[in-house]
Amino acid sequence: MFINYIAALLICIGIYTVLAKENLLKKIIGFSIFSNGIHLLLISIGYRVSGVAPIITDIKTTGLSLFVDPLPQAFVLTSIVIDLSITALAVAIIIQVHKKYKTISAKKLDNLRG
Amino acid sequence: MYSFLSIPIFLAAGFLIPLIGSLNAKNSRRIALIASFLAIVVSLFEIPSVLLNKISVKYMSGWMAPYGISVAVDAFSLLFIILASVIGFLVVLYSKKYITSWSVEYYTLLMLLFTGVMGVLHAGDLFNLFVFFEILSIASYALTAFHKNKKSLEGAIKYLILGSFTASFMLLGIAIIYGIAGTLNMADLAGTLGVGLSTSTAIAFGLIFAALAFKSAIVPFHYLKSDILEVTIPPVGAFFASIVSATGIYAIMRLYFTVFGAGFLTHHILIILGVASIILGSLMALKQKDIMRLLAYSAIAQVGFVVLAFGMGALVSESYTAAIYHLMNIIFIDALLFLSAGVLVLKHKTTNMEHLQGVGSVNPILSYGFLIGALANAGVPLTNGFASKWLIYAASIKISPILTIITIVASAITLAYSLKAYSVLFLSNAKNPKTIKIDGTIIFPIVFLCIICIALGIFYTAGISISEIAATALLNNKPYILGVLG
Repeated sequence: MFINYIAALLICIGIYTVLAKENLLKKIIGFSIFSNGIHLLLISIGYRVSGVAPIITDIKTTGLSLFVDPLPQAFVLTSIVIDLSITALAVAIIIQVHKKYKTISAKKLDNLRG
Repeated sequence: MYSFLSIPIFLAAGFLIPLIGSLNAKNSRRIALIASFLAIVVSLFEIPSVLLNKISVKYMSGWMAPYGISVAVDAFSLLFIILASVIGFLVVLYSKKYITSWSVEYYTLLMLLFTGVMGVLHAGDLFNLFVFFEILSIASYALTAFHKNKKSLEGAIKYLILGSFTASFMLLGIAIIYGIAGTLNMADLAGTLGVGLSTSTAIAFGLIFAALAFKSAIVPFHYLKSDILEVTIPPVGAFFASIVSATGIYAIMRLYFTVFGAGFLTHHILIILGVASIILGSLMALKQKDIMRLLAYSAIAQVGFVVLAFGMGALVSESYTAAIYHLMNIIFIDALLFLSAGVLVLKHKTTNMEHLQGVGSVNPILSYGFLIGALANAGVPLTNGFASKWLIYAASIKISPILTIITIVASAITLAYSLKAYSVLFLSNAKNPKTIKIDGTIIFPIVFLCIICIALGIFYTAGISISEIAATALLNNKPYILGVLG
């Protein structure tokens, strides 16, 4: 379960980066690290020692094998795609923010108050 | 099983609008109107089968429940599916005057937002709940940035970073649940998690709760709601304040009652969060100078009433009916308030109440619309807000008179700020009155919502019996589990 600790470390680094960094791009990078830590955790939860892919090719040989649940893999793949689209949208908005504000520091975006 | 068709309808519309709209931008609005009308039709067709069988289930590509993707609709979800499709149709209709340029992009994003909402309301497993929740979120980030001016970009980037950050916590919670139970199907989880609820299940639910509460702006996750609603376009703001909030609460209550069996998260937490939302929302709304922020804090306070009523349900069981009835009512009230104030914002290009002084006095329909919304918001008799708030007062007095005092004082404060907003916008003398020409696309949604607000107040027994059916479906998870697992 060594990989779980790596996942926990990545999650902690990601949360710290999102919360502590001022730069919007660094926040987005932190978000990516955070969510990739969760992906690693999900994959490690789904890992089965000496499991085989859940595709029945030959009943004789695979009938007794340990099948791996494909759900975490499918989930992680979907989530990676979602993260990609979030990152793309974030970068597009940050470019617009930079055009209007001439800065990408989160602290200087303070028009909305109250 | 027809109502799940609304997901592919909206998704297909979102795909067709850029294709056909690039030839003629006017077509994008027509496609959006047709799609949202079809969604109302298919969700209404669902009513008989849900009333008859208590639940209707659709297995995608024939894979049975714990293995494949299943879509399950019971009375509780169907109520919100119908409300979401109706409000969605009104929003599309109302958008005509607002969206003069960029209409292809706007309607595409709106269709994706509706897809996400419908998906969350239909989802039978946590996997699809998460995916559709993210579709909803991404569409709403982009819609927040729609104006591309300084304020809206700031609101959008804040919303994006915090929204995707909290949604990742939801992913973490789902990962923990998968680790415990080995399945993500809600009905299967309800059987597997069973009665013995561990600390890790509670942590997982807390993480998912945080993400969903951020969407419905329950205190302490309320901090961005007012910023977002200030900068976004009013028709979209109406949808955010009413349906998106309700979707978050729907998902929380679906998980809380159906999956976790309502045993472990103590109802005290819901009561505390509800009271905190009521107090903070009411007090913050009093000091606002911006009409959209005022309505946003008002929406937070009303969501607090719903959460409080859900929390009280563990002690006084009628309170669940009150909660669902109030949630149904605030969907209409918030939509009405945002849509009728939105016309003034469109005309004068500002949300500041000092600049909007008296600008509504030239138009009686908007004035009556906002007045009925404001009175219903405060819970004045003969409006729907009164009927549901009365049930909440009646339930709270059985628990503690302090809760009753808080809720009644909060309603009085609601009346104060709603009427303040009304008198500033519609009764005072205008500095530079501009004639506002409104056509059927604006009159119809406002008049329709007014009629609903009054009708649900006068014929409150109908509203209560609808909510009772939904509450029974929510509280008793046996038909849901049996229906999905077969």
